[in-house]
This record gives sequence, C-alpha cells and structure tokens, in this order.
Amino acid sequence: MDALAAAPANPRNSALAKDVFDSAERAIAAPGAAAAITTYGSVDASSIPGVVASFGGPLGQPGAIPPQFAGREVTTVGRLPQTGPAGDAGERILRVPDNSWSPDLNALWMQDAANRGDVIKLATGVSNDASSLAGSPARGGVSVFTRELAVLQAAGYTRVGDYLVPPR
Amino acid sequence: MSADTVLKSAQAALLDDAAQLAYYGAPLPSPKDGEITRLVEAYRAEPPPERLKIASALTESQVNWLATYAHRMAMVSVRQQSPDMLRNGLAAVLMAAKVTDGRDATMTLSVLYRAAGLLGPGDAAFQAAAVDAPDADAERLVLGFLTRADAAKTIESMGYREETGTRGIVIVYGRQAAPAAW
Repeated sequence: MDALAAAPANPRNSALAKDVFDSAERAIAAPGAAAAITTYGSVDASSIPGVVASFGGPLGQPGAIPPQFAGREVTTVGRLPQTGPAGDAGERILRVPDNSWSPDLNALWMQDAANRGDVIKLATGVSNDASSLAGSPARGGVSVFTRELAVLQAAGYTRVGDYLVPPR
Repeated sequence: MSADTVLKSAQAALLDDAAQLAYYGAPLPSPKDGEITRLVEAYRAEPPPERLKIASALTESQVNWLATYAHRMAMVSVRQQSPDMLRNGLAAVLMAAKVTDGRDATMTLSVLYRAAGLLGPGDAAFQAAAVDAPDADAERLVLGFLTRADAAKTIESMGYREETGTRGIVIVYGRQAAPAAW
C-alpha cells in the first residue's frame, strides 16, 4: 500500500498529521459533525450512481477554479496511492500515522474542509464504470474515497474540471 | 508456479463485481473459498520478487475480491478453529496491499484481528503472516496495525458489528443484514 504515512517521522508528515487532527477538532466543535460521520459510514453501493452523477468523469477535464473561489484552501482527495505523491509535492492531503487513522477521523477531516468551503482537488478520477468507487461487499461495497465524496456531495459540492467546488 | 501463472489463476478466480456479491453471501465456507485459497497459497509460495510482481499487477476489482475472501476467512477460521484459514486471510490482505487504499485494508485488518483474538494467537498471527508481504510497505501495513490503541483495533471502531448466527460467528459492516446463507 501507499501507507497513510509510510515514511518515518519527518517535518512534512508531522505537519500534515497535525493539520488532520486540528481539522477534526474544528469539525467536532461545528455543526454537521454527527451528520458527516453518519453519511460517511452509511454509504453503500447503491450510492455510487449518485456520486457518479455528481462528480463523475476521469481526470484531465477542462475547467479551472472559478474566480469566486480564488484564494480558498485547496484540499486534495482521492485514493491514497494517488494522494500520496500529491502530498509529497506540497498539496494538502489526509496523511496521519497508520495507527491513527479511523473512519470517524476521516469523516471529520472531510467535513471540516466542507465547513471551511475548501476547493477540493481530485487526485483520483471518478470513473463512470465505478471502478474507483466500488469496494468489497464486506466493506459496504464502496471504497473510502467514495465515502469522502459522499460527505462532499451532502455538503452541496459540484464538479468543475478536476475540482469540486462548494455551493458558496 | 511463476508469477504469470498465479496472475492467470487470479483472472480465472476473481471475476466481475456481480459474481463477487454472490460470493460474499455464499455459505461459509464455499467452493469459491477453496479456489481462492489455492490462489493465495500459490502467491505465498512465490519468492518476494515474484510476490511483488503479482501484487502490483492486480486490478482494483481483483483486490476487492481478495478483501471479501479475507473477511470470509476471518469468520471461517473462528468457526473451524483454523489458524491456517486466518493466515490465508491475512495473506490475501498482503497480496492486495499494493493496489488497495491502506484505509480500506485497515478496515479488513480489524476483522482479521478480531478473529486472531478469538482463535488465541492474537498479535502473533499478524507477526507470523507478515512474511507473506510483497514488500516492506505491505509488511508495515500489517505490523503497524498492532501498534494501534486497543480501542482502535476493534471491529466496532471500523464500523462493523459481530453477531452469533446459528452456524457461528458473523461479522457485517454497518447496517447491512447478514447474508442468509451465513
């Protein structure tokens, strides 16, 4: 796997991990935390068509960040094998030590990005054939990436190029 | 057997998503479990460079099949009191580790860890299975799980629940109903 934080402790990984934990603390103190955790945990294969309808398409689509969102924080989401290199290149991603990740932490990190109105950069395409979204039936039939997208969908995000932008 | 032969076996055994759903709900164990067990054991028998070649060539659909197998082996191992089935379940997670998002794999490891605890070996089962890893990152995935806080290793922390069915232990995700054949 591309580990959540494969490399031994280094300043970049430490900063990213602190950012994730700070995000979760902010989310807990804000409205929507419980709903985000519920949404994240309840997504299943039946949710995939809706996620594809909202965000579907491969990477490389035309479209830049709309001007009204210039200056917003940009958070990169996707499957870890794709977000890992983006994080190494300086982008804001979810990266915590392997033994610290949890579904609730992930949901809160995503909800905090929505609460702040972050622009979301996709590191993984949202395949129309659902290959990047489907997961083992033993894990609810979806990937963690799909769960993240479901939280953003519930927050009203829409796709522009390779970005997901908030409703306002 | 070569890596190419193992990959051909994977193509034959790990089919489309619709078939996977039927496999997930099949009786524990099922003939398909036996077919995938042979695949996983063939993977385990390869030297590390060949294991890495196999693990790196799997598709996302195939690694989802391996996760389903691992989940099923957690339950089968407890029902049959079989450390070998638990070992194969862990090997399936390792086989899938190069393609799987580590967060998804961590969820499945919680189920296998529960089985390891019920069977008795606990941490030792994970430590022994780590030799089947395709590379150091995958090995770290399994061994790193053992460094989690106790509460963070539980199936409940990953969204699963455990029940006792008429045939034995059942572990399901979220609000899913347990398949009737289990």
